[in-house]
Amino acid sequence: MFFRSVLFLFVLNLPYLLFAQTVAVVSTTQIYDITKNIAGDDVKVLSILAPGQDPHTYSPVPADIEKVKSADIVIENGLHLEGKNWMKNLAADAKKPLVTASDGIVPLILEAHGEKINDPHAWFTPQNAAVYVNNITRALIRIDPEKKENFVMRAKLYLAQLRALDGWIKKEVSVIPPDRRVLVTNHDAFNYFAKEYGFVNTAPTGWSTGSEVGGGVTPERREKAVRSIKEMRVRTIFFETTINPKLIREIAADAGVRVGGSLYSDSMGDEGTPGETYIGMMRENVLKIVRGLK
Amino acid sequence: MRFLLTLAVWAVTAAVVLTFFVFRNNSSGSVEDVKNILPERDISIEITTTFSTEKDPFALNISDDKQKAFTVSLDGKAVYEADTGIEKGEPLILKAVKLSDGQHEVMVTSAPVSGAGDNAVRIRAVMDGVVLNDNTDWFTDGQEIVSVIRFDTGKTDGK
Ligand SMILES: [Zn+2]
Repeated sequence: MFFRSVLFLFVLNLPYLLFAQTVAVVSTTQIYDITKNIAGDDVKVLSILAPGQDPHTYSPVPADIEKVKSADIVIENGLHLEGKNWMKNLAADAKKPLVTASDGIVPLILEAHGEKINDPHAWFTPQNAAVYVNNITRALIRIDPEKKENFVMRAKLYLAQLRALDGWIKKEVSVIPPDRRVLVTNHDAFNYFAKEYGFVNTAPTGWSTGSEVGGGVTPERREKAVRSIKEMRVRTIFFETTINPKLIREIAADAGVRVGGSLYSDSMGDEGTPGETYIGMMRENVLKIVRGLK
Repeated sequence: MRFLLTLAVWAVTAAVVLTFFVFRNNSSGSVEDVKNILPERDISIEITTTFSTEKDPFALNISDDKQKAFTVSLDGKAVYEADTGIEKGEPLILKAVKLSDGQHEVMVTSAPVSGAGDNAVRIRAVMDGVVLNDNTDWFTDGQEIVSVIRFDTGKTDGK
């Protein structure tokens, strides 16, 4: 009887044993898309955040714990993008190896209340996204070395696409006169983009939409944003897809400027929207920025 | 004893003579092959770019597969790799003398910094002063450069 039960269980699990797929669980939608581009169908990639969810303020739910338990590897953005380190904690609780996709990037330093904070929004330049690609490719090779050739070939194609994206952004933003390259958004997410492509940027909400030091909206920051808009004669300001546009609409009314639509920032778009991929979200943002500011 | 010694000396002498004839026959049969594998020719690959190279931020850097900013491969094997040192307008000349008669392929890959305009790569294959192939490829700004030429070292007449 015992033998028969064991045999039955074995047969029941046979498909799993034969076709068990390596699983990578990632924190954000950007990392999900980058990882999918390298993994193809060789690795099952699961994301904790769905499109539209905010990584700064997210609190894991029981389903996330189950997802991480099934993982062979856990990939986070790092630099404290995941508020209160929720992805690090999930990986540690499940005793799963953790890879930080932004490892190796020299972070931009933000000053807030006398504290220095590493800006976590590193994916906003294709050059930094290429660092993510390298870290993720190495991680996937480590957990599934037999698929190395596939990962490497896909990574090379994706890196070529990121290179093309960078050249395209440079060319498109070149039509905005340098003194009009002022980017006003909800929260301080566009520093890397601004530095790479010659913009000045300001936001009424700090580096995080959450309650961390230097995060959240304050009356001083709101006032500073309105002042900057007037001083720099900004014509268009933007809200972000993950954040309620109310604040930006109020500021636009106060400063007498127009709203240039929503930019993808901490999350990509829903499936079927032009911002559902990393390259798509960067493309759509640049289109709106160029149309709004040129 | 002396008989045995004579026999041994005779056997060694016979073996040496036999080996000499076998070797001479074999080598005389393969003179043609040797000429084909190692032609006494001066073959060079000349590469001129409209850009200078620097370290590539979009390279794949996994431990044993480090992409350099500029690579030249001949028949699928890398023969030159560098991150820096390729200067705009200055030809890189690679001497490639050990080529068999027949078709060969040179591939140049590179990653110039984007935002500086379109780029071009000119590759020339020259044998004994005769140009076997001369090709220039243009690439739009931001595009990865992959330029390939083929040439035939067996067909020099009429070129
Ligand atoms: Zn953010």
